[in-house]
Amino acid sequence: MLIKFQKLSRKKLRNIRKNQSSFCPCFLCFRKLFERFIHRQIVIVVQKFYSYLRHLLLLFVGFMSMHVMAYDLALDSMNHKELNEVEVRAKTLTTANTSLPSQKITSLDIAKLNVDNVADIAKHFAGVTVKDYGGAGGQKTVSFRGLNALHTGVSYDGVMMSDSQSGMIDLGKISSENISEVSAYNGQPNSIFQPARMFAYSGVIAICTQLTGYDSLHTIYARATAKAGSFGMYNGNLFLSKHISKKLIISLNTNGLTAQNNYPFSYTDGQFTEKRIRTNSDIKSIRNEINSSYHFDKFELVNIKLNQFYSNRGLPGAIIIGSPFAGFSNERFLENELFGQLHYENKKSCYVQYQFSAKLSDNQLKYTDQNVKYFSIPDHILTNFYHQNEYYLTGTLQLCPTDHLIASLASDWNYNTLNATSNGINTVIGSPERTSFYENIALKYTSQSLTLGANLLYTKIANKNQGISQPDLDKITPGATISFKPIQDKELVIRAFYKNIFRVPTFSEIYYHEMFSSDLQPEKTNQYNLGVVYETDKKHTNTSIRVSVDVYYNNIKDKITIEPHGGFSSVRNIGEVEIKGLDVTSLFSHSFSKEKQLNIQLNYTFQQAKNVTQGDATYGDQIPYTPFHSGTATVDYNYKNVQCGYSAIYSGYRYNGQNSDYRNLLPSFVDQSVFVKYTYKMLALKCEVNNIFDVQYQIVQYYPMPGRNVKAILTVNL
Amino acid sequence: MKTKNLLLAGLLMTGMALSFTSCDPKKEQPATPVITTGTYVLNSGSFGKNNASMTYYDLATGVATADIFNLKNSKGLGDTGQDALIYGSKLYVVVNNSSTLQVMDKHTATVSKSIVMETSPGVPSYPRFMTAYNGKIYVTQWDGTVACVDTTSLSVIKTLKVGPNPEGIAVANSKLYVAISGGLNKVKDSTVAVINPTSFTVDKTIVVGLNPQGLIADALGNVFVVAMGDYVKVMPSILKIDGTSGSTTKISVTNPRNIAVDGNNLYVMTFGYDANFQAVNKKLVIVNSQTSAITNSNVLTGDSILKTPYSLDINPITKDIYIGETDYVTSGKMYCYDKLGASKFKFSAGLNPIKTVFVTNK
Repeated sequence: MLIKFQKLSRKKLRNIRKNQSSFCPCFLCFRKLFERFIHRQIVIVVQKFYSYLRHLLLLFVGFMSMHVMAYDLALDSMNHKELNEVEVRAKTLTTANTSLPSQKITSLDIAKLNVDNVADIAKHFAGVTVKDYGGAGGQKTVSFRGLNALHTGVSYDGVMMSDSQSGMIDLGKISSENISEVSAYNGQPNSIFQPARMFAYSGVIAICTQLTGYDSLHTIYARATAKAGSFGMYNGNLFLSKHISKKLIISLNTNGLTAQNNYPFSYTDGQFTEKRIRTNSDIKSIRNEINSSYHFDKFELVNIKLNQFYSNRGLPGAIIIGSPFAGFSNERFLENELFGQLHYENKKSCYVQYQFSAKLSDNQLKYTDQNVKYFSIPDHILTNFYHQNEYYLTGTLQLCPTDHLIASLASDWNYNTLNATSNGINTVIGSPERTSFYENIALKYTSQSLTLGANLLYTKIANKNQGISQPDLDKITPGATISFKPIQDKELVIRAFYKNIFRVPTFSEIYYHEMFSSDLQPEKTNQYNLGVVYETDKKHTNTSIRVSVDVYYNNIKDKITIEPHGGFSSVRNIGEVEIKGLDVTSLFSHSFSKEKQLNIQLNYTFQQAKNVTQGDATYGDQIPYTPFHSGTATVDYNYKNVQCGYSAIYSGYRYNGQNSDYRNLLPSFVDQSVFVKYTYKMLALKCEVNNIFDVQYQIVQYYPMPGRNVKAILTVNL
Repeated sequence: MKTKNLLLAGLLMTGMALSFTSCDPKKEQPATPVITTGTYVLNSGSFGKNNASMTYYDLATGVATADIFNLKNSKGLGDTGQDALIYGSKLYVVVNNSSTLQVMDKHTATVSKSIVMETSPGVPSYPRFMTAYNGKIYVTQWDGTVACVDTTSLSVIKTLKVGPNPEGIAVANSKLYVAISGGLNKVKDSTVAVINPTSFTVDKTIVVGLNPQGLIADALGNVFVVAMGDYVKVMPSILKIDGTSGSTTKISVTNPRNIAVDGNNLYVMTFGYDANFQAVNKKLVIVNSQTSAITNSNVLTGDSILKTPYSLDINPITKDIYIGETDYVTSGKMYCYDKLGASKFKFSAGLNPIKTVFVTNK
């Protein structure tokens, strides 16, 4: 249908063109003709470029590893089966996609939440804790089930993001505009057609951006969003996508944000309540992304992504009580990031599929702090530069020898460098480099009622830094999954998984502290999960329910612990954590009529995360920033072109320090928000009221979160 | 049926939002003691956590009361307690990151004035250590100055630029001696500044050793300073500035950390670190402040200190030795020994007990 339309329009165009060329020699028409000629030339060049690229990529196959080459040759001799079979087979098996607990928030869900960035989205996942320093510029990191943020991997359109210095990705930097979906995977994604690094974390937040417009009938698609909110917040997003040819799509996304974030807050100091205004919390940022996608056919494509990010933001300080300087800070971050991603995938054969990706990234971070205590520095401005580079290559090969068995083999190579300089006290010693190599083999057996999966990940990591020796890391870690459908025609799945994985020390952990163990080992985690998922059949009723309940046991061994010593600090492997928890997710949808729908989603998490380090002064205490109880609720109601919704984020009490002492107690809170959205033709206006009850709370102690605030969002679709 | 489901879900949701908020653990309020004869321990707390506190230990009852400041003032002390001093009828407490000098009545621990320490209006100066002389309190500040606080008007009357990140301060030979650490410099400082308190000018600077921090003076005008080095290559050392000649000599005590003085006795807390960076060989060395000779290589014969020694103070009347310990995470204990090093008592203080001062009944 679509192709027909395009063919038709092309015929028409040809006719018009003929007519114009023969009858109208005026300048205007000549220009049009010329433009068309140029356009055609561009298309030819682009086509040539992509076909060269494909050859290059195939060459790269050979370089990547010998086994991939062998299978690639085998591919040619194989019969190419009907392509549609792959899709059909995948759809029949729900058990195959539920072995590992995963949660997904799509662009449609995002439209029904009051969120600004990916970290805000992540707050709606069960079992996920977001550490938020507050405001648009405050750092926001995500952790799974009591395992800290350093164990979380973040993938951006299939490629893992890295920060070799801090080991954490600030999800507050990624706007919720132009996201097609965000997934939270405990362990790893259920699909095994993944790069090896996808298997190298305790949990993965996978971000997928929107590459094309919703409606591919348009040759050009545009969406503009303007957001204005309390405390001087203005955000604009422009998304353009164009089908240059039937095979080539180019899209552009620009997001600009400016916010003062000078929100009022109050805090209690003993019996007194103090009212203040947040300072040094402003942000200016811009992210530009260009994507081009070239489809050789439906099952073979190349994506190229270029992403540029600039941000200039203040780092608001902790509230300091007993002084008029509460929250006094002049610390700033100036960030310039540029990265390019290349992705090629080939799923032509239903026996053999393969994909390759490459990434180059350059991240420059400038930290400044103007403070009188930097007495000897001109103007008292401490300036630290951190320059990180990453080079990444990955290749995945998936084999499906029978309808029931899938095997995948993935090789990743990663090279990271960090260069840090300072005009004050040393930050990171030397210029560390890290070469990582990952090789993953995964197997999956699927039948109508049973899915079995297993993987082995081999990791080899070598660090290099001026004269500071660290032993190479050489490790094999396993993972196993099972899901089982006990009743033939009921969507009830029982699932379990086990995963043993680790995180390597970050550059800051190895090279920042005056004293470090010359044999700093990775921090290991074990995860055990047992759960059940139930889903009603959507086909026969207009009410659908999906419920999942998972119980889990996690532990952390050889925790990388930083110990202060008054003037200097040290780092070593000491500490064990034991986490017992429960995640419940439930989704209830009901369609009263075609125009009237109601969705209710409730999530609940219980976590008991204990320090179980033998002989430790805080043995048995809950680890910091881990609430025992937390949950989210979202309700949205759709009537014709009006949509309204309510969402609540609840966090029970938790402690901000290692000892469960009342001084470290952070009280529980519920942050509730509402919105109304009205859609008229290609215009949509959304009004949000966030934190409607003006609850004054802190996620990180002494970093206050904004109280009640409003936002208006206007979206134009062209 | 459907409406029932809806109602149920709605109820569940509102129930969840409302019910969870009220089950936070509650803090029990301890009894507020009357201050008689005892000790105030200033607990530094940890940086950025607003948990500086004071513990009062009553010598007669043997009861330690945590958070005495909070109990007496209904609010917190602030962020990072640094130094405490009793002068006249007042108790002075420097709170570094709050940039305040809290002035309290020593018998009630209630604040009479909270002096805001600032470089210029709205800019904190980060006070560190203090000493009292001729009705004035002199406070070193990280902004590179020494502030002079008048004890009658309870306000900063003048400040003097001395050098990067001054730390310890003491009075000897009618002069103020200030350790200039340069602790936040790319290359740390190595000097002691000598200030004339009358003209309030820097008389001279004396080179001591890398990163001078702790500084005290004995009754005869000898000044002792601990140069902490860089913690890795340059190890800590202790230097003596002779009261009469002004010459600098090194005292041969290895791994000095905290120092205290009483009469002719210089007490030096020493310890090293093992392979796991835990404090080992914790010894309290006594040096004759006149001759610089070690008179006792470890006076402590009583209870051994479990964690890392954090503070050292001598009761000027009883000559009892008070040592505070820390693990930087949980509350530390205070160990009290008599002058011969035998254990007298122990009590629980707060996080990072940094200074002990002594109060006697009116």
